[in-house]
Amino acid sequence: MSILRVIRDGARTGEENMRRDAELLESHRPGDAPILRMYRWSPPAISIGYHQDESGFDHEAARRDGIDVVRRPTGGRAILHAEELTYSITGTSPGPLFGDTLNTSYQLINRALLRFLEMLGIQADVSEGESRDDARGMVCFKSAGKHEIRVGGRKLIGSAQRRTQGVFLQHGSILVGSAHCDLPRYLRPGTRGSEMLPEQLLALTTGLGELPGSFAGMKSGEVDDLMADAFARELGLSLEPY
Amino acid sequence: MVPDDRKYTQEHEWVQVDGDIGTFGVTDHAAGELGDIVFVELPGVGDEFSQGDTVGTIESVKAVADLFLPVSGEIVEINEAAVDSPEMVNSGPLDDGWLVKVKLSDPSEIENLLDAQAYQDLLGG
Repeated sequence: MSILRVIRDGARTGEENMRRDAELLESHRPGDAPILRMYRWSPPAISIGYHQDESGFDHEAARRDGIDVVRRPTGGRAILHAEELTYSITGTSPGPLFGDTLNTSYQLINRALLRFLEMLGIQADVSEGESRDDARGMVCFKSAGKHEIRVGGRKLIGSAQRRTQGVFLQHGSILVGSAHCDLPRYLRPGTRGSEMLPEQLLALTTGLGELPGSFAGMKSGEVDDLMADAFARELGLSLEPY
Repeated sequence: MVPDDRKYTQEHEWVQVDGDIGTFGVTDHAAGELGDIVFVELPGVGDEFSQGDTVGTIESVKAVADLFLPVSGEIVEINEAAVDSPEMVNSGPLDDGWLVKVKLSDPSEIENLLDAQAYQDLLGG
């Protein structure tokens, strides 16, 4: 059986997390075994999408609160990473496992994420999409784009992908608590999304910590084991440490 | 339908040659696959590239994809309208949504690209 390489990376700074993901993509060659990396963020960090305008962010306020600001190699909108599990997958596309397109790779990874949630006792579904207008806003968890995972209509997992020369990196945030809702506090007045209240974001999102299921009683190492197992089963691969 | 007035790449890009100028863009398939395109990042006029170099990126709501220039040469024009209104790449990837024009430094490179039939075959007939 082919292998899935696994990195259990624990908590790192935003800069280190994004550098590690970028390096995994950079060194990946078509046909290499896919790599699943699981990590967390310490201190909390705001990640900004690859093309997003940085001037809308209040860097001083973030610094004052001990929050790093870092740019992602992937697209999409800003996220405040604090209470979440984060995954990244580096793989080959076009290719037999993840298929030939952006959509086939998203679909397979989503099936693995849904399986992980099922193993936690959580029933989730995949959203159909959002408008181009929402996609130009600043706040990622404000709306659910195509391929994003929801529970009861509220967004639980947001993901983004970078594709280059036959390989891709997809990473995503699996919300656990509600700390991501503080993001608008770090947007400058007048920037789209800065008017949002944490309660409004809270109503649109959910986290593993508030959902029924087995997550509450688990240690972080056990959660990583379960996620790795879900990916290995859905992808039909055997696990091997990186 | 894949127009036969230009050449294609496996990365779902196209080049149309007029004299020593090649116009470069992404195909219908690429634009449809990416979904709603929200950012286009292009090089500067005067920049020089070799065949296969990354010349920019294109971002949709779900992905950032690198753009690879399939021919060597110097950028002589970029489509500012597509930078300002990236949705043009969705609505007309083969015409109004072109990305850059390049002065070819080695026109023979065009021969190595896919013709319409080969590109159609790549798309699965």
